[in-house]
Amino acid sequence: MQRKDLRRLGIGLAAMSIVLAGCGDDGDSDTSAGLEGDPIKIGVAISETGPLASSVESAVGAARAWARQTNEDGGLGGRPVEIVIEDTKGEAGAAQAAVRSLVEDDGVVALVLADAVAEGSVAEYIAGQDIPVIGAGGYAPSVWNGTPNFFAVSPNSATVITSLVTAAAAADAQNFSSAVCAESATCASDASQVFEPSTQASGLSYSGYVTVNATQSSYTAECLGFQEQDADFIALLLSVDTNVRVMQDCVAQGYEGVFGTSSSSFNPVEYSAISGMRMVGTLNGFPWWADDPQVERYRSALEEYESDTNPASTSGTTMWSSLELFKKAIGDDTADISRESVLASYYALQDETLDGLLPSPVTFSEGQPSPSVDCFWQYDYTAGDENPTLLAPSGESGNGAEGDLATACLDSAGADS
Amino acid sequence: MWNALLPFVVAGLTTGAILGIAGTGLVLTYKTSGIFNIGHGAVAAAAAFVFHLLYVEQEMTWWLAFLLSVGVLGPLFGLVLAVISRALAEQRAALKIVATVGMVLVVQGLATAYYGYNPLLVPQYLPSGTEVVRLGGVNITYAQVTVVAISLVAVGALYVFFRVSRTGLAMRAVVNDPELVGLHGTDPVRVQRLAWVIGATFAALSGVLIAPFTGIESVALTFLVVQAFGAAAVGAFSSIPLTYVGALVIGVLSSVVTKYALDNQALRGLSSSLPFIFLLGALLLLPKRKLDAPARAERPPRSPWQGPDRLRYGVGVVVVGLLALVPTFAGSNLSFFTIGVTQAILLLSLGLLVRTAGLVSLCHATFAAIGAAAFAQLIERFDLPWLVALLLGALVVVPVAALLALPAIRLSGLFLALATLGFGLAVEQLFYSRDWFFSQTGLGKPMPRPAGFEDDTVWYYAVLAAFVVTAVAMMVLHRSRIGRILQGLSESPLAVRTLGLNVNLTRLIVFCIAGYFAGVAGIMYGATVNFAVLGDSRYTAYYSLVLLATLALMPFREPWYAVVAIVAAVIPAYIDAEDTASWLNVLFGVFAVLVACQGGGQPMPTVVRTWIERRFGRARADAPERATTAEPWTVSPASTGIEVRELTVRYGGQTAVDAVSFAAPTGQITGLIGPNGAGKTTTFNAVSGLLTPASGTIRLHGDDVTRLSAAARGRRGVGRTFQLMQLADSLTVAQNVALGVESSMAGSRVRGQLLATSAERRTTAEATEHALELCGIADLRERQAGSLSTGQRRLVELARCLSGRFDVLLLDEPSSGLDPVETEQFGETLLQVVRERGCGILLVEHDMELVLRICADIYVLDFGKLLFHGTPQEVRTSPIVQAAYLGSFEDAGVDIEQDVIEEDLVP
Repeated sequence: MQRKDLRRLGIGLAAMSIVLAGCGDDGDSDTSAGLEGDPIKIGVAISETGPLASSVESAVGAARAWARQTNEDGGLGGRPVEIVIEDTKGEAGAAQAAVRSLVEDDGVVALVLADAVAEGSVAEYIAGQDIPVIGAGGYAPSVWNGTPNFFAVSPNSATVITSLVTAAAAADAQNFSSAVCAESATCASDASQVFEPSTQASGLSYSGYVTVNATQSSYTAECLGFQEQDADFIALLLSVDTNVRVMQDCVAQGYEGVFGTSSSSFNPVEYSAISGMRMVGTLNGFPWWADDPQVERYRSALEEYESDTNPASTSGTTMWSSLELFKKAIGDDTADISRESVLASYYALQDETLDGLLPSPVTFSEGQPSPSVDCFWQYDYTAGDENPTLLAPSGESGNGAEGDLATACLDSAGADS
Repeated sequence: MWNALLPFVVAGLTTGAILGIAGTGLVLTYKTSGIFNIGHGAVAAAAAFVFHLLYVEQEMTWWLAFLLSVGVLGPLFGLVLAVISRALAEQRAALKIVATVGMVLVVQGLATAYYGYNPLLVPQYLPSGTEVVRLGGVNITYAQVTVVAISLVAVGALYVFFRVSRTGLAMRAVVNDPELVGLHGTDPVRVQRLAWVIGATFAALSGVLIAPFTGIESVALTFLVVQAFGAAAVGAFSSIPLTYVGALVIGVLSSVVTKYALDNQALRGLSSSLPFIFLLGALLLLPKRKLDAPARAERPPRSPWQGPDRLRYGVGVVVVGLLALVPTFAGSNLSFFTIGVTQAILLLSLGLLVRTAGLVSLCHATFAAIGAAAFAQLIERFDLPWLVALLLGALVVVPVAALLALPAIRLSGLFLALATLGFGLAVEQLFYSRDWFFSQTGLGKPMPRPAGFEDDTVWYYAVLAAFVVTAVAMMVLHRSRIGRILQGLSESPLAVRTLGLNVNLTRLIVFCIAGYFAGVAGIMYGATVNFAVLGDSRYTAYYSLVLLATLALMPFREPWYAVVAIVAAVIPAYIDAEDTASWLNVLFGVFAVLVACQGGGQPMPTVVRTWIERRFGRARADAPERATTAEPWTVSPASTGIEVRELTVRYGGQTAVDAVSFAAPTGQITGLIGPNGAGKTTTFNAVSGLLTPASGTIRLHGDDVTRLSAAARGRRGVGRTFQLMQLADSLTVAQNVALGVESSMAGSRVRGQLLATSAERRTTAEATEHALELCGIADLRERQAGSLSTGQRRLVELARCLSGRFDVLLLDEPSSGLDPVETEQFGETLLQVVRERGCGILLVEHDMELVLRICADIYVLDFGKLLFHGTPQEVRTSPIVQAAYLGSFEDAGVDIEQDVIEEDLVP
């Protein structure tokens, strides 16, 4: 009797699962009426779902909002733009399928790729397809600064991690330490190789790093270890939620120094609750709080078209600036847009900064991979503040902008210029 | 130094306390139900999610939310688990594990479908929870102190309950013998239900208490509780206070190691892998008797239907043909198919371990990862040709897999699974992030494809070719000797051991082979996604659980069950909703639980079987050799038989056999009789080598064999049958009987275990046929052993003993289950065997008529001592024997006449 019941219950649950699995929507695109001509399609391969989806959440909303705003403002040279979103699911196999399906769509003239886990698995394939990858964010140096057809407009993750050392120096810290994620490379990204030489070059002392798991119930032991070493800057290369707990535990143990984290893990909304926390770090996308009109456009677009999306995220701002660069590159004569023409337009760019939306002027040369972007925005954030404060660069601004859009740069030795 | 360590110790105690609560609930349910709930953490996670729903989303007061999620939901879960556990109680270990894994998948799937992958943050809700007190140099919150206090109270109360109350005592008894508990007036079902309720409530308590510290994320919570397995291991899976202490020790040690890890990169990952190292260590070091599962009969696996060869090849061609057509319709989804095929290779190798050999392994994804990492290193450092790097890279896995055979030697079922799980988790924590493994970089290690295979379609065919090669290899293995002895090992392990097979070597071999193919699969997968990255889901320890659940769902024989891996990998391509993966997990989990509860996949329905047999003919075994009239084995004159002197066997303080001496010479049948509990089977087990005596000697043909293993004695000529029959039910009668001679041919030699020479095959066939004829069951040779009547099965066991070169046969109650006619025929068979072959038989029997008729010599045991020795006539008339069997007349208070007694004893 029990078995039959179990079986019925099981079949019911199973049927329900199948139905529910089939429901749900795909990522889709936005077109606007009133514009003429075939839409110009930009394919976005992004991990909408998957374990690290939260770090690129704002990017999806930013892409959609950008498309709506652009079409409202008259499209691209009068033609509507269409964003085609394919979910890479944060998984190599699904990423290959997603990218392939975008490449095989002849209407797609450019790709945006935002998946830290899977970008390696698709890079070679894309390079062989003569389709430009125009953004956004970008993680691995060998992909974004080492593969043809990739146009890097923001610092890669290695630069961002190294820049945490400059951030520590900017915060007047003496002793640099780090907590690195044990389960996934995207949190860690080569920290072990990078910190020791950069701290030496910047004149800070380095007290090593620990690996931590998201599953730990307490980080007190790690925080005690940092205390023992007198660390006053702790670089956290972890996910947002783990960062929150580590910072809470360390502050609870009396830590009074500064924290730092990678760009994609900087979430002031979550961090504002940790009273007593101060963070100095790096953004790879423009600061969303700046008063400049080009940034205001970003915020108002999100507010109007994608109000559920959190604008306070560099995944959003890097997506926005990548798409804005696309618009600038192809210009107003959009009658014949193809993958080749887009590539040519990008190679024609000279020292473009989008008035401060890009961290440093970009120039691309045909036949060569993108040069590494070594400039970034540095911020100082105390829990409870409405917005972070931008740290002014100690030398020249990397992108020539002033105020909240000015960037600091690594010089060749790895210290702040 | 102590001052510096103290803060870490205090910090570690608080984490240990939480682990202690989780571990306690786990040990409780294991002790009382015999089911180790790998899904214990899933219960914790579910309760935590409900708490979040009530406290954070519905904004209830904290204690009401607490009460509902722990006090109401916990017991509810417990009742559901109790029902599942009743269905699982008699299933074999693999299925129990699959069911608990299914629970993990269901909760994880539901959680990610509703809440996504991000942990839910829960604010600290305990009163004054966030206020801080300084203790031993570290700031502790009142919440942490409260948690420790709760844990001490709860665990202490449970310990007292177990010791003092009647129900507690009943709980400890019920796992071993529920019927016995029932006889004493306690309802075993009610007792087990209560145990599950308490256990699940503990799980819920640990989940809700820990939620503010860790956030709520179901895989994470599940693995937190997996850390509690390490604590349970310290408590030898039975002592609740030791489990709690073990949890504290693990917490403190992990914390202290963290202190040194900051300075010393070599220690990276050690802190988080400690619980798994404890688990593995405890399983390897605990005395074996602590790890013996309670001796309840397990339902044997359902025999898969054996189709005719023509059908198998036909289906094979169709399947491969369909797979070859995939690139024509897959389009941009090709990568899903390619990955699916690599996972099919992985599943084939896991099936070899789990299905064929019956060894449950939960670290298969780790083997794949090791293969991939080795391949990446070989390509990078030595620039070897691709195929060489593939073959060598997979070879690196072999010694690692061999290492795992070590626990396999002393553990079985659940404990082997736990040891492999602990191993997989420890390797993941300690090594995956190292530079020489996957490294910590976002890209990971490049996994190139061979030159000319970069195109995805061409690569798909390469992977398909690898799958076909693996499938063929598996089929060849199954048909060769190793396949036969693995099946024997899986379904009748005691039998093959006593027949002379060195089962440790067998386990080693099968782990090595399975590890090799898993390495190949890992390399092919890595090359499909171009990089082997830290964090790739297919290399994680969690994925090993998913693999096992996937394997359990398929009822088909090798290699078709592997096709499910392709289906599973491809579904997300075509059902492209946001939560497909999550709902798939739920689906898998539900089916896993259902399938496990009903004893495995459903066999092919009879209607289909009949149709197939009509079209394609029945499965045909090899034509039998002409039975030789001459005996294949003759007993040499030097074989004198068994002589036992002053044998004493003790069990935990009780003396089961006390200084018993007897002889069972060749050429006759010797009887060993006595009332129930006299120690007959114990004596048998000691003589055949399955038990170590406390003192005494056992001589075989004049040689002292007391120190030799059961297999060694088997090879020297001691054969035996079992009271609880040990037959491979899914093999045919002929195959079972052949195991008798093949086991000793395989013996301790690697070549012998893998392959049979043509001479050996001839000998096997002849000996098998002769044994079948001798026992009169030659017409049953192609029937599956599981489909026979008890009487026929007894004869098969006897024939198995006779096929090999055994000169002394130990027969343990061979007539039980036989009707009088069958018993008489059996007796005749035994007499004929002794006449023809000249071997000796030692017979333990309850059927007095049989014993008195065929035995030349009889020994009578009672209460472990030798009571009487004499001829059948002497036994028949001995008042001592009568008293032993019937009790003394004065006690019985019945006046029994002498001739009535004689009537009972004389035919």
